[in-house]
Parts: sequence; C-alpha cells; structure tokens
Amino acid sequence: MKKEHFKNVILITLIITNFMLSQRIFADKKLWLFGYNFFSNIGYTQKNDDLYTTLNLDVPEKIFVNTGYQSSRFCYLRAHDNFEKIYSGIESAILKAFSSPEKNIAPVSEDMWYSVLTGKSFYIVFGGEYSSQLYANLLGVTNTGLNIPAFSHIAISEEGNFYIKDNKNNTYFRVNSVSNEIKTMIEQITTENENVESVINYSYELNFDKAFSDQKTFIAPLVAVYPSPLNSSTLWSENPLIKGEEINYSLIEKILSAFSINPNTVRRYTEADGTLVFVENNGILRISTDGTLNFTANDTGIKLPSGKSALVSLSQFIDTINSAYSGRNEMTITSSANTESTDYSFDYIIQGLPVKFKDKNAVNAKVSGGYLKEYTHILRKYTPTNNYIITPTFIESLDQTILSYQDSMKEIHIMKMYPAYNDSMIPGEIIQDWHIEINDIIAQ
Amino acid sequence: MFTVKKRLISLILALLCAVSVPCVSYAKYDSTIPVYAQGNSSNLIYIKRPQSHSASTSDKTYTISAVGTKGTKVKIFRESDGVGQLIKSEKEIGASGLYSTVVDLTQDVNSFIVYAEKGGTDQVVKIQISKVKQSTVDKLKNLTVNILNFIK
Repeated sequence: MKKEHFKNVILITLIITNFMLSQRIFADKKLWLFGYNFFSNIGYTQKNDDLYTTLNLDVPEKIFVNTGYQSSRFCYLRAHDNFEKIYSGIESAILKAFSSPEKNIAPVSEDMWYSVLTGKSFYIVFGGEYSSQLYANLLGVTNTGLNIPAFSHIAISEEGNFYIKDNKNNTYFRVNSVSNEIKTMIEQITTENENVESVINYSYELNFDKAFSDQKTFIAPLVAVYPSPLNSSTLWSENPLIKGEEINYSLIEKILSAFSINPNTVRRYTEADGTLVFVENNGILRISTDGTLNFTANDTGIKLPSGKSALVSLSQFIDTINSAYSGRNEMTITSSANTESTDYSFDYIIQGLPVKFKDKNAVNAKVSGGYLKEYTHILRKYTPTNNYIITPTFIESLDQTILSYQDSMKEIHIMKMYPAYNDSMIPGEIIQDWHIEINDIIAQ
Repeated sequence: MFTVKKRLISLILALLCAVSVPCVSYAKYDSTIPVYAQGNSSNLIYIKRPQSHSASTSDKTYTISAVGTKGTKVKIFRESDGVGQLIKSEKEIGASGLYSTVVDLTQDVNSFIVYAEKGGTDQVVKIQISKVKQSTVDKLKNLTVNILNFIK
C-alpha cells in the first residue's frame, strides 16, 4: 500500500514536470518559424506607466522663469528636477484660465505681452500648437471661454494674470487673477538660484526682430538667445529593430499586434533592401531595417480607441509602439492640433530636449473618423551617456547655418531656434546642437 | 649694378611699410583705447541695444547687441580713469551679421567703447549704462500703471 502511494506521487510529479517543460519548449521563440509562435505572443500587455506621451500631452516643453533680470532668467525643461514642482504650481492657474467664462477674457496689446515677459513672470512654451478648445479638453474642461485657434505660448504675470498669444491672428488675451501664488513662487525660485548666473535674452529685447538698414537676419521676437555655449551629455542611439546583427522578430511581433495584423495569416515578403512588407486587408505595413515603420491603410484603416479625441487615441497608439521595446520613450507633439485636425507629428523628447531628424519627424500620422490612415514611426532607443560636449554659441551656430545661403539670399527669417539633439538616423552617439527653423528666405 | 640693388631694397622697404602701416594702426587698440578715439567710418556696425546708446537698468549685467557686415571685428572696452580697458576680446561678425555680448555693470555709471574695424576702416561707438535701484524701477512702474489707469 505504501509502495503504491509512493508510485502515485512520482507519477504526479512527472506529469506536472512534463507540462512545465513542454510549456517552456513551446513558448521558446526559436522553436517556431516567424509568425507561427502562437504561445510566445501571449503575455504582452501595455502597462499604464508606459503612457509617457499620452499623459504629458498637456505638459509644456519648457518653462522660463522671468525674475525681472536678464542675468537670472531660468529655463526649466521637462527633465529638470524642479520642473514638476513648478508646473504643478502653475497648472491650477492654467486650468482656472481655461475654465473662465468669455466675459472674463479681454484682448491686450502686444506691448503688454512683452512687458509681462520682461517683468516677473512665467513664460510657458509648448512644442506644438493647440487650439484652446482641444487643450481645454485635454485639461478636462468641457466649456472654455477662450476661443484661440492656435497657441503655443502662455505667460502668467507675478500679479497672477494669465496671458495667451493667438498665433494665427497675432493677437493677445488676458484672464485676470487666476492665481495668487505666482509672486511667491518666483521669489522662491530666485532665492534658490541666488548664486546662479543664467543670462538669457529674448530676441525682441536685443531688437534682432526689427529691421535696420541692410540687416539680413531676423529672429522671431520670442526666441531665447543664449550668450554662452551650452554643456550637455550626449545620447547613445540604438535601432531596436536590430538585435546584435539580426532582426528583432520579437519586436516585430509586438508591432504587428499593435497594427491588428495576425502574423499567422498575413501575406509578407522581403524587398531587396531588406524591408519587411506585411500585406493585410486593412493596409500595408513596411518595416525597414533602419527602424522606420510605414503603414498605409487600404480602406478604412486601423480603428483607434473610441470615446477619446483623435489626438489622445493616436498618442496611446504611439505609446503602444514605444513600449514594445524597453526604456522610457516619451514624445511631444510638434504639429498644430485642433478638434478637426487629421495630420499630426511628434518628436522624441529625451533629457527634456527634442530629438530632431533631418527633414522628418519621429512620428507622422493621419487620423480620420477615428481610424489611423497613415503612420510613419522611426523606432529609436536613447540612453544618456557620461560624455559631455559644449555646443557652439547661439550666434556662431546661426552664422554656420546662414553661410550656406549667404550668396543667394537677401533676407533670412528665423522662426524658431532652440537646443535639440540631432539624429542622423545612424545608430551611435548623438550630440546636442541648435535646431533652427527658417520661416522665409528672400532671394537676392 | 649698385643703383639697381639700392632701388630693389628701397622697393621692398616701401612695400613692407605699405603693408605694415595699416596693421600697426589697427593693432594700436589691443588692450586699451583712448577715450577720445574716433573712427573713420560710421556704417560698419549699428548698435541695436541700447538703441539710443544709453540705458538704465537695475540688473548686474547688460547685453549689448549690434548688426554689422560680415568680417567686421568688434572689441569692447570699459572706460576707466580716462582710458578704455579691453573687457571683451575681438569677435568677428559672421554670416548672420548679428553680434551680442554680455557686459558686467560694476559701477553706477558704466561707460563702454565699442570698437569695430574691417579692412582699412574703423568705427568707435560710446555706450553708457546707468544702474538704478530696484525700488526706483518699481516706483516708475507704479507711476506708469497710474498714468495708464488715468488715461483709461
């Protein structure tokens, strides 16, 4: 009897072990041909804390703290330790301004706007352009009194008044008394940085935006001009699609899953340059070995999560793709966005700075009627290094850029100029430099 | 033969003088400049800030900005004891034509000499930045607000 009992125990143990080992063998990706690994696809779910892009859609790219002095004007990027503290302090003021009824909103002069920036104030800069309606929706405000078709700059004066610039009509508006904590906050930041010298001028203060004689370079008034070179760590850029020297099929499976493509039924082929092409009923997905995804819908496209605005749904989709490979990958919107928008662009934001690719964005997407119609995404993983480099000064960098145009141009108008990482699409070390956006070049 | 040699030496000497005289004349403002110095041109650079060549601030630094032609070399001197002492070494204006530099305001009245030169021409511009107390600035601000309210 005792012997029988012992036999049963061994038998049960063997059966359990058999199931455990079988599960491990079946789930091993190497056992299966690409597209036939049914078991290994199970288990990938997006965590809520991977929604870096979606959760930060309403967060500005940088906050300038104007202390009334040019020698103590500070710029806080998202990556800065104090950014969250400062932003949480002014977030309620922004919310109050967007919740204000129309009767509380008054137009103000351009001079007033500049006088606020010159005095003690917060100057808040967004990466993209929002309509006030869309931004209010992001804040959870259903009915806003502000009717601004496109804005990317906000200022809050020490008196607690909120100012906003309408980029489309070049007009300015004020909402009075949205906070009574601004003055204290600015004083606190000034005290904390008592021994720090940080000289920043706006272009309008240096009159670089105003014409004189045969001046040929004009810089938009709100561009921040730094007199000294900047010191920053470099980034290490990786193409997550290539693991060692092989294609990362595990990542491709997750990407296919995000595009609702069934790897078992999809028709696929490889082009001469190594681009993998997946042809499904709803569209064609091309995955290039340089890490670029390109999806074009055949008919309706891919259904994005419903019940949310197109921008939020698209951001969640971007987060799904970004979280398919490890590491914190945050993006910021760089295009204009309103409630009727269909075309969007995003860039990676690393160490608080945008990463720029030559003539393209990290993500370009077209969304229509809740469906994703076109989508391009450059997959990259960035890791800060301990290698620090010093950039050229603002004017040196401008000189170098203009050098290539100088023989053929009469005037050049700089719309934006700010520090950014420049990615040449070749994996490896990338450095911080000045990103220049030219508005207009008038030929000779 | 002797005359030819003499003429050749004279020619070389004359050439040397022709080349070196302008160099010497524009290298004379290396580390100091006389306060009465005047240039022979008025269109090498145009000071954009301070627009009227004088300004008041309660800040401890001031950014001087200018536009000029490419290749113009700019130095900044501070007037002290009747002479201009070099405080910002030579910087050449690049393709953008823009120039800016930050100067420290160490006195109540700070006088600077901007010296620009290109080829055979030079220009001298005098700038004065006065320091005012923050309380004075605040009073002026209040006065402006009161006047604006009165006008409204």
